[in-house]
Amino acid sequence: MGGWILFWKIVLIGTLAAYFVLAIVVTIGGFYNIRDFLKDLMNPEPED
Amino acid sequence: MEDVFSTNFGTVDWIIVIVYLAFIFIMGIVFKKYVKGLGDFIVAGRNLRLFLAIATLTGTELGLVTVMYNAELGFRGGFSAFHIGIIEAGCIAAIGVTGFIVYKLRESKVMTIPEFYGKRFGIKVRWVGGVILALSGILNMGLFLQAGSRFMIGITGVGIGSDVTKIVMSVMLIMVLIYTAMGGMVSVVILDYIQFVVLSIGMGILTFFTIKAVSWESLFSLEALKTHGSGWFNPLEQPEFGITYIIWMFLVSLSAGVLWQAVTMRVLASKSPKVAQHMFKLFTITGLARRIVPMLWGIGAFIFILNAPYLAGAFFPEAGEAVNSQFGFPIFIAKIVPSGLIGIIAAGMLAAFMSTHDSYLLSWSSVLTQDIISPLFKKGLSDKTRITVTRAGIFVIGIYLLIWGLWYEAPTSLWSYFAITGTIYFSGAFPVVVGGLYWKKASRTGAMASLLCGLFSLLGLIDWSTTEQFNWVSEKHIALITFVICAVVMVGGSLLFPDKENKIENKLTEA
Repeated sequence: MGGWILFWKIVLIGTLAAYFVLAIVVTIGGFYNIRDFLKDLMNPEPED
Repeated sequence: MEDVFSTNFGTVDWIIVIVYLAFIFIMGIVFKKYVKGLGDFIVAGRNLRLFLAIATLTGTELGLVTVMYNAELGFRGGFSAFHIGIIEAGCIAAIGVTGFIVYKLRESKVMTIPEFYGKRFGIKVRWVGGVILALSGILNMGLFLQAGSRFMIGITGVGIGSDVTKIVMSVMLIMVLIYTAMGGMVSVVILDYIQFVVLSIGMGILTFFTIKAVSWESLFSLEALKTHGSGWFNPLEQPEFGITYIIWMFLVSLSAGVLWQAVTMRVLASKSPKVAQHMFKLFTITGLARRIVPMLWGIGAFIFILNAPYLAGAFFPEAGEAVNSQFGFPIFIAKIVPSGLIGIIAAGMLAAFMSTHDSYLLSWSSVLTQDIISPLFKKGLSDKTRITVTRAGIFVIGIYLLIWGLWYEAPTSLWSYFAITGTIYFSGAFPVVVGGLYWKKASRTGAMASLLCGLFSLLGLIDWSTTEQFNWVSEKHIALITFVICAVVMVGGSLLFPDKENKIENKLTEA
């Protein structure tokens, strides 16, 4: 039982840490992506 | 019963919720002006860059319903439920590293999976595939409104014995219908980004209060072993899970990871095949978090309720009807999060509810238009007509949700209902898409047979425990058998009935 408990603790802490770092990166990066996204929609490139 | 549903949700929280939802609605309408054609409406002009793709995918896949069913899994199954998240993350990571299916799919420039069937196997397969996909997806959505209603009742304390909650959820659904019909995928993407940011903040707040309320040590204490045995930590010994369930979860995760329409739409909306592939690598983390974090809240809710006699008596009575386990999570947060912050949580969750609905409404409506209705016309439909039909489809599906979602009661847990209705589609579609992309001998007969055999999983919606001879059968057995049958008929049908010409069809109604 101790093995399972330790494993789930590692999974939980690792997930929380990784998610919140990624959330910050995606929030900032996503903001700039939206700007470019809307520009592209107004000036579409021809399809390949 | 009144004490069970007491809450910290007050007037301030209602104001926060109303202001935020109004803001979301207005933003959804504003972006209509960026929709210039069908490509913009359905796949956002194929302009999604990496971070926005991640945000919108997470915003859709981390909806209120996702939170509710994962919290319920944690509440009922404890840490054993984490195995579902790990399997799913592993599958998503493998897809991201290898580009399995997603890379070739993005290269093909189709807008839906059935469109791919049409290109590869012909129009009849496309049509049947479209019907099955729409059936699966629309059935799957059937319980979204119910889960949302239970969240509202649990967190606000309003709605017990009245129709207030149903009215509120219906109003929200109507708002979603309007902005999705107007702005299509462009509105969906922008609002998903906003939801992602708000949800992430909400997740941080909730996790903090969960650990504060029950303590880190209590979460991992052996207290739950008294009620659940070692299955609380070991998924192989958890009666609801076990090895059959774990294999089913692997098959569902792998097939859903590449074929679930809401995910596929983001793949197809990505700026390039490489962006699509990288999106999956990063989605591994958000995909894992969307499972594990709500499960943690469910576990916290269980521990909290177990240690409060008036709550334990309501959820685990010795006699009489128990409060539904779906209420565990919202009732828990209603009691542990202070007013003000609970309004932000509720706003985030309700916005997540809307963001899931907008994506799925657009997904299934697009399939109805592109793959079921349009192929019936010899000359096809113009882009303008397709947009109109898609918008009409959004409203028709919305009406179904209002009727079905508020009175149908699932005979099983929320997640099992979603997994089995999804299996109707995944089980047949997975061999067809894998065969279509990677096996030259895959034939239309094999594809048709595989898709139709997926309907076998409808038997998983029946409660077999009430029968004498088959009371050992459950949805996990039906699902697993269906996956096997579909793979066998795909291979067997293709070998026994090869196509006369083995090249991509060009004489179809144009997509």
